[in-house]
Amino acid sequence: MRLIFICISLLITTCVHAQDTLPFLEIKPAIGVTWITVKPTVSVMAFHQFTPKFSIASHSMLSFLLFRNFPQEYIKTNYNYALTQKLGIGYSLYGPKGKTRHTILIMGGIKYTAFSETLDNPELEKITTATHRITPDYGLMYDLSLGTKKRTFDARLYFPFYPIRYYPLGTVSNIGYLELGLGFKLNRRR
Amino acid sequence: MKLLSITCMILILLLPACRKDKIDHARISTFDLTSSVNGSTYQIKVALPKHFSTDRTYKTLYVLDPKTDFNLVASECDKKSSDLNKEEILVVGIGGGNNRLDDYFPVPYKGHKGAADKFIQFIQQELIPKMEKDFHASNTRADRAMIGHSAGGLCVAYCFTNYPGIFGNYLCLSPSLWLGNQIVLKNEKAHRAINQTSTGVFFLAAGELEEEIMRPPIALLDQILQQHYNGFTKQYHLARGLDHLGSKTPNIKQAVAFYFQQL
Repeated sequence: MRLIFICISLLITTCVHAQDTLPFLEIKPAIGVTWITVKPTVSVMAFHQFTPKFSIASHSMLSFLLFRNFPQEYIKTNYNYALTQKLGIGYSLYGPKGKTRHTILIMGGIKYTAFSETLDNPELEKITTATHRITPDYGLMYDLSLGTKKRTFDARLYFPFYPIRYYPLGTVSNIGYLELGLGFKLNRRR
Repeated sequence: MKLLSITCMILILLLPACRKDKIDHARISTFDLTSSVNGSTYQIKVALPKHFSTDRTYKTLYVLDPKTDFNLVASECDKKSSDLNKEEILVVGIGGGNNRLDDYFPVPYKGHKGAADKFIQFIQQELIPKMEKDFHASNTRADRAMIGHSAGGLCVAYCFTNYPGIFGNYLCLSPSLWLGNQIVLKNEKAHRAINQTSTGVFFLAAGELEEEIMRPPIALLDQILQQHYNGFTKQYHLARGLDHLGSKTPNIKQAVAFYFQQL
């Protein structure tokens, strides 16, 4: 909770500062995969740089279970997906000739998780469980952007810290995700 | 300088995770015990009560996976005993031996032997008698408890269904009840008529976000306990917003608290 508060405060501060500068927005759609449990992800990041080094970003993601990681004969998954929305601030470093940009972002937001499973073993009673839960989602994101033209190649790696109280054991099974995609610069700096 | 700043920032973010479970190491006794049942040597860790006396006997809590959980369980027992003004107990960690999955799984699975029967026989025939002889552990079923998480939780549930005479108290956290097409639940059904006449304490817990195969069998065990085991004092705890490993620490704390409330 404290972390989210700090992130939001920093974000507001940087947004106020950003009003004096020209907009520079990048839209970065990507696909990826979570590590444990393995699930595909579809995401989009809106990335705004207000100085060459500092930026703010919004990251929206859908992840869903496409195939069973632990197939069991009598337990079936009815549905399993998660939606996350995070905001963050970033600090960028540049490679030779500015062709690569490495950004570390502190992200904070919420995650909505929904899944339902049914145990239907003929020797036992049938039972269905369902979970719908909103949890905090905060952590560090590394964003690699390759290219200087209107379109760039993008790779993102996210390491969640929730639940930080039980870190690192608590985040081992939710260890993050890797995403690959493109970046589209919508509004160039004059 | 930049790298230093980033490193410092990450360390600050991780500060809340830097906690240690405090237990006075002078009170911990360790010894090796070689089993004649399965031939394995187990490293046994015993946390003695603060005011240990040879004039009385003690209730005993046996801990599976002591490498990761012993200190937490022992420190929580100290805390709850003091906070709730309850009697002190012996905490016994059963470590070493075979691969944990060999010892905790009741049936073979993916190269693991499924030797839980022999492991439990070792506890019953060799460890418990030694604890009673050397550490003044009480010799009644009602004074013995067992705690385990995941595969350890499965082993706790297996003791409940197949060896109900050993322990009277079960602290069963996120048990892997899916194993062997829910073999432990099938065992429960087979032995229900005899087992449901017994009494005791059963604490069952899971993480709310334990997805894929974990939740339905655990929910079914809870349903069975509620419907058929009236002689047991029961509690089902679902750790909100936490997954399999994230729920482990809070559920251990809840389990120990519940156990001490029943003393």
